[in-house]
Amino acid sequence: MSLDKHEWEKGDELIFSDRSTPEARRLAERYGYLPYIVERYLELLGGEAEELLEANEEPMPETIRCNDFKISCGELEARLGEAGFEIERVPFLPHGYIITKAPISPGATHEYLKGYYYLQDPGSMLVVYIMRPRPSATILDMAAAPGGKSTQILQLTRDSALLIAVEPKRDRVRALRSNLQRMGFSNYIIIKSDARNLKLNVKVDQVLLDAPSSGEGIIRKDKRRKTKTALSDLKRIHYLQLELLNKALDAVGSGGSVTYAACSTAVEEGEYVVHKVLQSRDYVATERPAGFPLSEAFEEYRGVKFDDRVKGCGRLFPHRQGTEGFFICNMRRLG
Amino acid sequence: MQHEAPRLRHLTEDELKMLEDFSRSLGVRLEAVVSRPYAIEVPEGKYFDIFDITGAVEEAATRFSSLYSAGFYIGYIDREGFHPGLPLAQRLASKCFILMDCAVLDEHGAKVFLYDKEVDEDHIVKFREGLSVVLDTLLEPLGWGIGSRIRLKSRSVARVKPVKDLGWYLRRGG
Repeated sequence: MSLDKHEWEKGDELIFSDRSTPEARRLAERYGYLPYIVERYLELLGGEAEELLEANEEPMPETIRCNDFKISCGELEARLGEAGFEIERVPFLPHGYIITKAPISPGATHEYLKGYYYLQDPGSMLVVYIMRPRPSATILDMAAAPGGKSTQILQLTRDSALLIAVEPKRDRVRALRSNLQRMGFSNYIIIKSDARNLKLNVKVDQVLLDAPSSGEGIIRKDKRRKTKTALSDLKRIHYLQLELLNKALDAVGSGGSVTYAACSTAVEEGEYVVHKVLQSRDYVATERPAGFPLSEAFEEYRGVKFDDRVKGCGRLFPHRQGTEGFFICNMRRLG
Repeated sequence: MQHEAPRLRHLTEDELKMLEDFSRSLGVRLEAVVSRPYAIEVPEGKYFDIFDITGAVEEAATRFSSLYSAGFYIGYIDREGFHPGLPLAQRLASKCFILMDCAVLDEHGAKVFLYDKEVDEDHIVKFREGLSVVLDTLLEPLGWGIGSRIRLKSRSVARVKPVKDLGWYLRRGG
């Protein structure tokens, strides 16, 4: 344990330090970022870093997930078409559509109010397809609000999975319930709690942890994310993610799966979190999902070589997949 | 001060009777509204929510404190009585014109209704007096409304006043 602690401290010192070069500072000034973020892009992506910075300048298109629990997607396409919307299917998302023309806000149509679709970014949707929620399984969603992924879990299992949705904040828990109701689901309970304090008396089959993050992955939607998270805040978020992921892995029984996701391009919130957690858990395997357009996870950063199993995780980048930035990792508890 | 956590409990006889009366007023049996009713009670709260809960959901719900919601939301009970929720309108919509009467609004009426505004006779396709599920012309539910007639000098006119409409999801739902 003390060795781990020593290793962690050494790794943290390397990873959570601002080593921004003049080139990083120049690009940071040009694109309006904190320099340490751009430095990380340069170290990890080299010449591709500027492509990422450019892609982050492109606004995210509005995307929706058709709720085929309530309406067939063909019927929804027809209805939105009649209302003057133009939509296109997203090839790698079975229920996903990009809205290319919207006469009114997609969040204000009768179809939306009837729960026929959910406004959801493509990376966020992809996380749940990668998770593969199983019908009739007991599934814990540890950071559930506002409910995009919770509703998707119940949609994909035809409301047969028993969903335990956890959210600590009052306003957000209200939105979570409202969305679950609007989308027509009932096989769930909502717990208002910090997932770290959750007392589970039995093991669950699957856990989804879409961890609270810096939101560096949604710079395309929210430019404030370029400067919002100081390095010290990022370290605090990293430790919160560690606690939550450890809790998630403790919550599943043998054979159970944990899907860890962070809406971020930061290694500190992705590979480095999984690396640390796997250090003390040789009974956990990672499973690289086939059939999805994921980029490889990074294997090392600043001389810290990550656990081999981190190779089983994947990434989404705005400049490669055209989505928001995401880190996604499917883990299975073997023993 | 330590607050007591919300808890799941069975309904009292009085509360069950309230649900029975409500079902009867719509023209359906209680079973059409709810099969396994439970309340989530917040100690010292001014109202409590009613849910229809399967055995599996019940078993999971009793394992946790800080329970916020469980199963199919039916509505809530306060001092004034039972107030039906939007998911219940969805559940009962399939029974409209088979087991019970419902109100139907035209396209303009639906739009007005979803803004939580009263709909006048010109936009009511099918009128029902009193509380009922309100549908659009696709016979899809828009919420709950109260149909009433106002007596004018020479005639009476119908209107439908929203009680809870789907627009709530935008205005208050979050």
